[in-house]
Amino acid sequence: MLARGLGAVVYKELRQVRRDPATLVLALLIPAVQLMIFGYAIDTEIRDIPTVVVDQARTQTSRELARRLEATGTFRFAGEVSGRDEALEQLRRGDARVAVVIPHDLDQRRLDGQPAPVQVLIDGSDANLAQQAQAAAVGLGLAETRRRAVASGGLPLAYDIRPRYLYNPDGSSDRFFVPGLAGIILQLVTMVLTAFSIVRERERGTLEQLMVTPVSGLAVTLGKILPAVLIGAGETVLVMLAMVHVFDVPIAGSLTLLAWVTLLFLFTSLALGMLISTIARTQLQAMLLTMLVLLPSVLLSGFMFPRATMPPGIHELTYAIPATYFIEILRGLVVRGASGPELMQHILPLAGIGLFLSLVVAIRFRKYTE
Amino acid sequence: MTTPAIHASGLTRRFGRFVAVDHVDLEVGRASIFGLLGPNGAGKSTLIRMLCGLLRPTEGSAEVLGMDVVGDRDAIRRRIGYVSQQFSLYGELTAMENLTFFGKAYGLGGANLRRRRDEVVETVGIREHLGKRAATLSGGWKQRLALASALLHEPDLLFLDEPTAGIDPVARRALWNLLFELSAAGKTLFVTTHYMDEAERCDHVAYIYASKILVSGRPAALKGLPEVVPAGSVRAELRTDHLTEVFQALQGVPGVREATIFGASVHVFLEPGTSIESVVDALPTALREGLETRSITPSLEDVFVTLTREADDAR
Repeated sequence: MLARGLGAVVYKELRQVRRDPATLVLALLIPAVQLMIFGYAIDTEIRDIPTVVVDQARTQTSRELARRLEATGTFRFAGEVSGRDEALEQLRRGDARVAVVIPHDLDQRRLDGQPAPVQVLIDGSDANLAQQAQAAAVGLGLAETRRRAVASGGLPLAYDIRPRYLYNPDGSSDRFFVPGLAGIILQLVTMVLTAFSIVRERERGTLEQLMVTPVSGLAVTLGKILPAVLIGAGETVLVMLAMVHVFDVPIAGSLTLLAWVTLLFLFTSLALGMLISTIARTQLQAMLLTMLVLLPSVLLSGFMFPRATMPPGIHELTYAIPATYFIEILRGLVVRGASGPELMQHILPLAGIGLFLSLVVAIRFRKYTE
Repeated sequence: MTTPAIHASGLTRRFGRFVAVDHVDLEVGRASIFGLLGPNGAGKSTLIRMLCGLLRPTEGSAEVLGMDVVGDRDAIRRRIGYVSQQFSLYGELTAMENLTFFGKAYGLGGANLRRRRDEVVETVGIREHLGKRAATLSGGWKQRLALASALLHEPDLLFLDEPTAGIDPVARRALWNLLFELSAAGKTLFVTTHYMDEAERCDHVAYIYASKILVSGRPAALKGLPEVVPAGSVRAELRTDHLTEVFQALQGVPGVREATIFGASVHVFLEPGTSIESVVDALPTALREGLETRSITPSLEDVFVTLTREADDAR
């Protein structure tokens, strides 16, 4: 039998977990707690950008314009300043991110039927914020133009574009971020469970004792992964409860399918942890290697930045990251209600990586003491 | 059962350019206690780890219980037990749980596991400590537990790598009594040690120094080796109240090949043709007062000290 001694290893691992209840509680609670903290903290919808106004016109129209800008929700007026120089100083200090300069001849130009130039100065050091500020300001101008064109019965619209958000009608960033965040956190905590396991045995000398028994490499690999999958499953339940009940992100797809793909992902990230454990010679090395794997999982998996825009080379690399597939699956299943066959293109590679990793670990373990 | 328990020829292990074990030939008879002695870093653990199938030999071959250490290492594992140098059981598990784990690891289960567990508990006498976590046991009990774990699957051959290092003298004696019982029951024991008194109790000893086996044989036979006791040479013990002064004075006396302090006396090893009387006469008068001499047979330590010196001179 390939997994000779599997029962023995599982028995030992479960006893060890039982002897250390504090670690078990931490492992179970940390993911849910982190999800709550980061879920609240990360919000890509930018609102209430501190904005100052230089109102040189000081008329009812100019005040109306300022009011409309604030009504978009994107800007929050932090005060009025007397001139352009003072506005720039506020931007440099970081007290304001946007300054709106309304010209003194605003009303006159409107009466003349000319467009009124309104300067919007945007702090470009935060690219994301700058983009959203620009979009909101330009959008307001276009909407105003359109409203007037329709009211005056003038030019008809060239296209009547009517965008509608599917699956996430409010465009809530929680629906985008929280499922991905759940995947990342689960990977982090479970990987650590196994990343240290073989190194620790090596440092304590028990690895050698294990090696003189007839227990096979595959048995050690699976014997350490399976109990950790149980812990990971517990973590998942807590994380999913937090996602649904705290962040109001309902699970649109099948719960059964979610359970199966989560088990698959847990298995894969635990196998990755085991691989680290067989490479590292000390626990410190295991820690550093975990970091090495973790950052790409966060930054390149599509969790934060869209993978489509990544340069060639890096884009291909993202296919080697298990979190890439799991995040695709979670977003598909939780947000879009995708079915098993629809997600198969992500499920199969994830299973392939898991299988490959566990075989590599089993073989490496065989050679490990050599 | 005519094959020896262990047969090695030209067994060599290199780590990069360092040769840890250098062309070792070895033969260990069945049901004997074989002692491997040597200073730290001489290659004892590397040799044991090759014989256990934990390390692949770079060169040479070895058979354990008639099986090849490379090709049959899985089969060998079922028939040998290994008690390592450091405590290598699971400290957070109880003694009982450790036994259960190793029993299962060797494929025991159900009634069979319970029976064997009871038997080894009885053998090493650890019953009253079964419920304690292994980490909390004293050094002596830890070693007994390790021995019990290594005995569960009824191995024919036991490797013990410095089993008595760092445990108290009473526990040390108790452990050796256990080893004698096991040997009497037909098991072969391969033991490494630093202690000369333990070496004296082995059926057969080998001395490894700087990766090479310098000598191997029965303790009594080693003491009569011509390198150790050349014809006409004398080994004597000098009892004196001026231990260090006598020791220092002896360094300059012609015909004294070795002088070593042994407890409250000095052991001397004289060149052939030199008499103990002439050596005493060469000492300053003040030191001769109350000096008693008697000739002695070499101890194993004398054997190893002499061989080590010769090996160093040859290099």
